[in-house]
Amino acid sequence: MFEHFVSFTEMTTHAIFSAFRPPVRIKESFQQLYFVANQSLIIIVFCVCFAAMVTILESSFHMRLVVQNDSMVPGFAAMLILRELGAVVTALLLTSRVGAGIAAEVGLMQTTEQIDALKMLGIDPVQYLVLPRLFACIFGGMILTIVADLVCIYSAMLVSDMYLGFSPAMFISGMRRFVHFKDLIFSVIKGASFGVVIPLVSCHFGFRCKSGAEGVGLATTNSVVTSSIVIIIIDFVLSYLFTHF
Amino acid sequence: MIQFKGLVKKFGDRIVLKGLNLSVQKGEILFILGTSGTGKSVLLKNLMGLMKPDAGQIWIEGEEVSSFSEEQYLPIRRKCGLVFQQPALFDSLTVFENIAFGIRRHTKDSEQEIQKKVTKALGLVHLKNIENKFPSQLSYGMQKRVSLARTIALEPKVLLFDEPTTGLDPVTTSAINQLILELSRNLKTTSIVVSHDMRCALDIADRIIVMDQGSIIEIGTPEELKKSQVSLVKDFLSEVLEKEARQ
Ligand SMILES: Nc1ncnc2c1ncn2[C@@H]1O[C@H](COP(=O)(O)OP(=O)(O)O)[C@@H](O)[C@H]1O
Ligand SMILES: [Mg+2]
Repeated sequence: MFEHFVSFTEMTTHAIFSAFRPPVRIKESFQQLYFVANQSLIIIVFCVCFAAMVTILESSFHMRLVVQNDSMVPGFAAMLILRELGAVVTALLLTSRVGAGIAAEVGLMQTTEQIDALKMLGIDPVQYLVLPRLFACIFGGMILTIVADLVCIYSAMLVSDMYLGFSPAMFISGMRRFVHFKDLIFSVIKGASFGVVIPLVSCHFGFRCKSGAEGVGLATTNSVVTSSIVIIIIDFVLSYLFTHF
Repeated sequence: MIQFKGLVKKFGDRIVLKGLNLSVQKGEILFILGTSGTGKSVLLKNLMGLMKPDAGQIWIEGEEVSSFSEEQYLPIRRKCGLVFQQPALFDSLTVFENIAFGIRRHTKDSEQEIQKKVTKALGLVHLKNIENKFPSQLSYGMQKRVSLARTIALEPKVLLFDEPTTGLDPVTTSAINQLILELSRNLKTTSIVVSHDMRCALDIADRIIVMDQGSIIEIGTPEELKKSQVSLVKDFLSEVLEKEARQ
């Protein structure tokens, strides 16, 4: 555990410092970004759609039960979506879609000696492999979080129009009473922070991958579990910080 | 030129290299034989800094390198080429890009020159017209040969081969052994070859060492080795000598 922490910190600092050294792999970074977005956009849109619908139906149900009145639901649900749901659901989906892929890819490169081959050719594997993925996941995380937020709100609006009797105009005016632009910013900050976690954790487990198919499987599982835990913890810390604003 | 002094490498409780001493002369072809799992690959990786020894020293051209950082290792790795036991080709790149990768990294060659070097390197390992294929489209033997081409395209001064011919057909095997000999004679490269092929070791090695369980149990020229009394060495030899007797 402690040893993991040390080597993770080492890799991370190394990655940060090597970001300021040439060569910068711009093309590869954008390829990775395309890959991240392309791979997960549909799944994210699909999943957050349902998450938003559940949120709004549940909160209406609870409000009616507790305060006998669900007029606050649009504002309440929209705020929950922006401050929490959009970013976290996106990040957890990215972890299993993209993070697992990174861990398996880097893990396989490790066990097939490709990482050593890179070193022999004078390439720094951290700079070569981690940085483009880090870039892609940070920006991908931000963009996908915004998309998820918009999709969430839109689907919540549709559901409340169809089942709860709030017209879109009522929904939006209700929403504007509670939700501010800064909530969207918080959401994007969360998205970017989770985007830092996913590639770093995945690459960490990939680099430490033991040989054999079993090793790659283990690296993948470990990276998904660890990323998810770290994301939940960071989400707590950030949410706590944001309550002060 | 290369010297190991009391090299120890452990994985957890398992001691893989048990205080190994060895020196390699400039320009010689040294064969390392030994059963699987005795630490031959680990020895080569320690030499190139891909693994760090737990104790002992490694000297390369008058420098003690075992505590070198990755940056300090760069010029050493530039001079040396390691052909891994696995093909270790980059699967996202074509054969051409795999071989061009190191050339681009280390030289300022034009595309034309790179093209020429790649074709030449592939020619040396008896391959042609596969530049645009991806590694996954090639057979294992072809992948290993591309890997060899990738390393020799950089014309290193020291060549380390980890079982270059294991799993290859006899024709390609003898071609590659011939290639090792030629590189060593023409370009004066120093070669360390990990192999199971005693026949070929006797043919082209200047010296042969036999390793067992992390230490060297026999060392000598091919002639000296033939007279060895160590039982494992005799086992290695018997097969070859029997075949010769039959012919
Ligand atoms: N990265 C590693 N982690 C743990 N054990 C290893 C590692 N690499 C090699 N070993 C162990 O070291 C021993 C020697 O391996 P190796 O040098 O590959 O043998 P060989 O002589 O066949 O090349 C083996 O028992 C192997 O299990
Ligand atoms: Mg080996």
